[in-house]
Amino acid sequence: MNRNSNTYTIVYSTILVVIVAAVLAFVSVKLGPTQQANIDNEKKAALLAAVGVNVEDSQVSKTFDQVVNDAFLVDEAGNKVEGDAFKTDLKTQYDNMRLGKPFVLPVYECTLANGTQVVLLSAYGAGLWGPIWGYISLEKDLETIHGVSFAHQGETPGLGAEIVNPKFMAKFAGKKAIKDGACVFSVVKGEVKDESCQVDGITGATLTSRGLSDMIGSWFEKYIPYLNKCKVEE
Amino acid sequence: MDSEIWKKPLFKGNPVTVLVLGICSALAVTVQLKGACIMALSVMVVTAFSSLFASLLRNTIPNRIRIIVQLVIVALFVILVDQILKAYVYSVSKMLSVYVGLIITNCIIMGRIEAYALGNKPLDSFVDGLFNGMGYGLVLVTLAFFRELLGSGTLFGWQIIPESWYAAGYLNNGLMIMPPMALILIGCIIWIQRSIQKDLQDK
Repeated sequence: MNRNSNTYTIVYSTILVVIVAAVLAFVSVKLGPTQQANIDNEKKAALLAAVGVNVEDSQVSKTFDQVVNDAFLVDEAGNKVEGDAFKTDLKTQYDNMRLGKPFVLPVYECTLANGTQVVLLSAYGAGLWGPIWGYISLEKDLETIHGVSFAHQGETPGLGAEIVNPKFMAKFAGKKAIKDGACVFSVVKGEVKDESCQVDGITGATLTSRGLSDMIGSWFEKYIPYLNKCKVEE
Repeated sequence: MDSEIWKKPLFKGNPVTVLVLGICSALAVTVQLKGACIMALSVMVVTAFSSLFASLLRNTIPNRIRIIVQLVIVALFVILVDQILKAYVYSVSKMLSVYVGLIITNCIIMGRIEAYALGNKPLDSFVDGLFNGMGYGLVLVTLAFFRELLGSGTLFGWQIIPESWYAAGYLNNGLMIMPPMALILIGCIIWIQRSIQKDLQDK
């Protein structure tokens, strides 16, 4: 057979690509659930980190079920709505917020091993190079930050990527996030004027710090109707 | 089988230190020994199996699309390795990030297929691929050993440098963690090899 004819080349490449595609599709379907479980596990670990619980990978799922009492969604008026909080994609909600469409917010109610009760909120926003997101837990007074955990897609290592540094994230604990029904918290550049509700940003990462501040501020504002309702109920 | 097939890539014709291929990933993934070992294994699997399959198909591949066929074969194995890492060693896969996908651009693999597998029997090609991957892995693991030990004081994440040293004023070398130091270390390895192996020296 003439190996250099056009027909041979076209038939050969078609068969090769179809076989390779079939193998890859099969593997992808087979391994998909295991990979998804890993991704879920990572998200659970990040959520746990925001309430100050750090455990080994194998313990994450179990601890998560112990710590989180209830997970639900709230709408912009602060009413509970149907849906799975854990599976809610933050990016979709972020896009809806910006477009003025209806959105939902995930809320996790947690009880820590020592009996402390905290409410865990989510946030998603823009860093310098790509999205940043995170989870913020509030103390029982629904005003003070208990802990945070942030993540980013592609901030500059050593600068913007420092937002995930545990030392930086530790600065957030104990800060006042909400006062008289409004968000007072901010990440500032330069001088911290009010220790009670400000965190010093990262030097050399002004835009990422500002993105972080905006992200927290805008999501807190959306959560306020729900938080106010909770206070009234108490 | 000629014993040169597996002896040569390990030292005399090492793909990293003699052919100077695959440097990019050698700099990127050698901060920790664990990542370097997994990367070395991944590259070995990819080189070995893509050489094997390229050799099996060598008499059927149309010459004009030879390189594309090689790419498809290599890409298949790279994606398989990536998927398996994501499923079973997720943390390592996150650490290696894009470098697993970038195995495909590692010149060692295409180089061995083009230079060896397309003209030799499948078993020989398999061994050639495997040991070229191992030659690469050997350099990777050596680099990672020194970088992790001197940069973080650990090996495989275990603390090796005793606390008493730190108390006495010992400090981890921060430069070891940076990519430039990997380049300098590779330079040192090449230097040592060239002083042993006189025929590599430029006149």
